[in-house]
Amino acid sequence: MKKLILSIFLFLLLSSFAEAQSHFPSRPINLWVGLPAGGSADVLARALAEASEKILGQKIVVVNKPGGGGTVATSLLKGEKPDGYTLLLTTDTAITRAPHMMDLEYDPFKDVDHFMIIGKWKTVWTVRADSPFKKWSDLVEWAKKNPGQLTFGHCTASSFYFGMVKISQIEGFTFKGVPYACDAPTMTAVLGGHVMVGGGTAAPYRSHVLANNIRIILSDEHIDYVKDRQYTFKDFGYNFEVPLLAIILAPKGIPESVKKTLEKGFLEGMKSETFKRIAAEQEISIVAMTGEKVTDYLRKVSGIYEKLIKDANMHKTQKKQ
Amino acid sequence: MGIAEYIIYGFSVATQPENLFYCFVGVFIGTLIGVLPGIGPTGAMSLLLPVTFHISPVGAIIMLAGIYYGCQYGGSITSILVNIPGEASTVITCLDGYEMAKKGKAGIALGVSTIGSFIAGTLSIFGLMFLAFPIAKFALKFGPPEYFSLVCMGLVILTFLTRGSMLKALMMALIGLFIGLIGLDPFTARPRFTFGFKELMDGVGIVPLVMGLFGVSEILINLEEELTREIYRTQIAGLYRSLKEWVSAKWAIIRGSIVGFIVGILPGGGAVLASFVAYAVEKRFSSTPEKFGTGLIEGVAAPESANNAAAQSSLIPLLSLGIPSNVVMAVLYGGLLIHNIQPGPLLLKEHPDVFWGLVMSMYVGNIMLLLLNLPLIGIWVRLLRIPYKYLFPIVLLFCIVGVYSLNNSIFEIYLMVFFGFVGYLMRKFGFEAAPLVMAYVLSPLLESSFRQSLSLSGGSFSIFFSKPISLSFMAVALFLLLFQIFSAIKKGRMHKSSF
Repeated sequence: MKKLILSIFLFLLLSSFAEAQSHFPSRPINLWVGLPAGGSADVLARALAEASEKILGQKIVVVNKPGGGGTVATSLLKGEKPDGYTLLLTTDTAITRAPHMMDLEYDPFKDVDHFMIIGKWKTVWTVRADSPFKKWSDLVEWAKKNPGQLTFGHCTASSFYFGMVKISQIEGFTFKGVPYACDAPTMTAVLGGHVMVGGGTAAPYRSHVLANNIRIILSDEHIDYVKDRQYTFKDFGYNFEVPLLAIILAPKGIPESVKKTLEKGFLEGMKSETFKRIAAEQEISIVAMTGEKVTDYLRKVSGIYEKLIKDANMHKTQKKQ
Repeated sequence: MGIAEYIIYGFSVATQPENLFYCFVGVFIGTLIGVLPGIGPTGAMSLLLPVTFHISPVGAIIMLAGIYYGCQYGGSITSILVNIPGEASTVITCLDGYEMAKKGKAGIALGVSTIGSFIAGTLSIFGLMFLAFPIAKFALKFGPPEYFSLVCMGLVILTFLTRGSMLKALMMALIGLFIGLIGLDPFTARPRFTFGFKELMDGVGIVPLVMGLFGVSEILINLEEELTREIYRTQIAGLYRSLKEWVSAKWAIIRGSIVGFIVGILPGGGAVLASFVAYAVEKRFSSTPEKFGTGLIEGVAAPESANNAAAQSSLIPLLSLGIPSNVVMAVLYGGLLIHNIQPGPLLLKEHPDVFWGLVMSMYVGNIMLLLLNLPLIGIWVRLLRIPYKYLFPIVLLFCIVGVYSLNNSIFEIYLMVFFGFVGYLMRKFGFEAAPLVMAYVLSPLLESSFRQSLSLSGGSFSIFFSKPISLSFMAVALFLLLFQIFSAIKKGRMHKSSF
């Protein structure tokens, strides 16, 4: 028994010694995903891991840690060692939106490193093919004439909802928001005619748009699969951003050299054909932002959402909704 | 091409050696994770997602689907043998399956579960072939008010699940509804009843809940008894006797298949709900409802058929509408997207090989599962000969590994242990876990559909009675409720203690 304990001890000592000496990465990297398996963010993470591990020369293990739209994983990340072997891919919800709506165990701008922004989901506003709203302007006009009557299906407390809040402020109409459990149920509600208009990410709608069951009447940027004339934010002078971002977070204080290695690995991986193809299928625009700019940009986005969350009466300090 | 040609075409795709291989790998892995308590199809499928980057889309999808329905075969094994559900969808199988095992009929129970799964799978595939697209269109008519009424009906059906005191069952149902409310508010995204635990933000997971209530509590109960307790005699009955028992369950299998097929199509439905509803329906149809829970073969046949039928019919909304109706389907959806295959109305036109290949591979896979599982029954039954003091620590270990593997969260292990003690106390005081679990499954749907309906109607309750589908569910619910109260009163007159 003594021998066994001694040998385990020696092994541990030696292996930690070896790790300190050899360069990064010398063992597999854990890439957490703050959202459930099978979702868009999860597929993106697995594609990124697949593409980048060849460049980094170490396996990247994708581990799902879902909960609270990524906030659970972010809280857990705060307690991890900043050695570059634990990273978190999640949406910007955990940094820019959730902190305004609920009390969390972390400070989004103090307790974690904002390592990278890898992509942005394209956002669409959709109606069923037989909807009287032929164009976005028809919808705006109707909503103005019928205050509070427009029903809008969306994912709870999502960028799509706050985007609609912003648009309604600009155009001067009111609407009834009907929250669904994100993309699939919202699409069902649009298809079944349960809501007049729905908002969500672009990829799930592709098949129905091509089959002429659903029309996209507004999007925040150009959608490649739409064959007809399409209208984006620009066409209506909507000069604001309400992005849904795929970001990578890290525990605070990763050594600069490790950061550089990881950055290089991921950026190279993002150039691979597999990654590009999978991002395109998910209708995610590749962003590839690194360094100081990431924090600055997230701070700006957080400011945008803070105001909209207050306007929508969903801010945490307010008691009544 | 006519439908016959499509079937032949699908068959030719499914029987290509490569696809046969992936089908076998899928159902084999499925059976394994089905047997292991807690480890569910979602984890295994997402782990295999990157593997599918490198194989053909048809092969990938055949393999992933095989894992899911393969799981429904394996899940009942631990339910029957040790009263620990291998999957959430085999919870209800514990009630009669374990009792059968205690009576030395484990082999018959395992057999009827496999045969029932096979028949249900076959019927479900026919449904999928002929009805996928028309049915999916009908399912779209289900908006928030329709769901609310449907769930109300479900809650009334729940009262049929009870064996003992109705009052105790209703108390359990209320607790189940409450547990279902824990987590982020679906409208405002604020944490609710989480008592400061961040891990409770997405609610209490079904796996820690059922593993605790059924599995851990079973172990605790057994700890009280002497460890030298007699091992259930498990003579493997003669083929003739088994056959006779299996044939007697034929209507239960068919009813279970139909119920499972229908429930599987509904978004939010799936195998878990299907097994509960099938059990309740079977009890209603039975001439001896009071014998349910004492080791009735119908009580195993119906839910086991239903969960397999539902596992396959839940592919309908995914393939024909591009709508994943539960988490497993969401993973499958991810798998299809990786190969640039968009499930939805154009799937048949753009990728007939995927649709027909998958459907026919499921037929092949079901036959593989039958051949794989029937001979194994003898081996599984022998597991019961392992003395309890060795068997249960191993089972507990699997439970812990399984629960952890779901979300990689230690908290869920604590949660399972907590519900284990709750389940132990419940058993001691004669409360049943089944109504609690079913109410818990329905609770989030009940809440969100209710609130969505009222936001759509601007607060008016008339929305539930002005739509024909919703109105008919409400009427059925009311009828069943009155019937239930009436028969309870009648029974109460005969022997006062039953209510």
